[in-house]
Amino acid sequence: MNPTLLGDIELAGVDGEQHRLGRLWADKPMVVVFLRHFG
Amino acid sequence: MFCREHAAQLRDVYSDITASGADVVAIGTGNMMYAKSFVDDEKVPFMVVVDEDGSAAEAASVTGGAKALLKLFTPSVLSAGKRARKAGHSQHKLGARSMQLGATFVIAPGNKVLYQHLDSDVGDHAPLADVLAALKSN
Repeated sequence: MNPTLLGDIELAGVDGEQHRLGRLWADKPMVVVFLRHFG
Repeated sequence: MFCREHAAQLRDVYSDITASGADVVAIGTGNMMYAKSFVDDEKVPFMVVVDEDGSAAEAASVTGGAKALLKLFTPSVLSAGKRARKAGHSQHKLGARSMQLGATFVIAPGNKVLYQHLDSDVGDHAPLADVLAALKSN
């Protein structure tokens, strides 16, 4: 697990916005859950 | 089915998580259409993003592939399947990389990893009591 590498990744959200992951935990703890799929 | 079960469990403790000053993001495989349907069906209150090319899973060392396939029909997975169905969850259409295993991390400012749980098989999830304890320890 490399939080710095993960934090640099930008992904599309269901809200229609692009999210740089590192920004999500920049100022508060974040529970980051990897789901296998949406099935 | 297991993902929906886990999302529902997280939804049920979401107010406890936000009360501790934290938040939740779910990163899934598959495409945006599946993700939107998932959010609507399960009334997911937290952010959901789509890792279409697997780059986030790779950065987090979240494994899958043949290793996960071998763990698909173990007694613990079959037992977890019964548990999930009993709780009202059912299997929907699978997306890309459906053999990727799940994982849960708690990451704090400064890229500090407070907690990590790599799922041992497809029916395994991080114990939410442990996740909440990690948040309280921060």
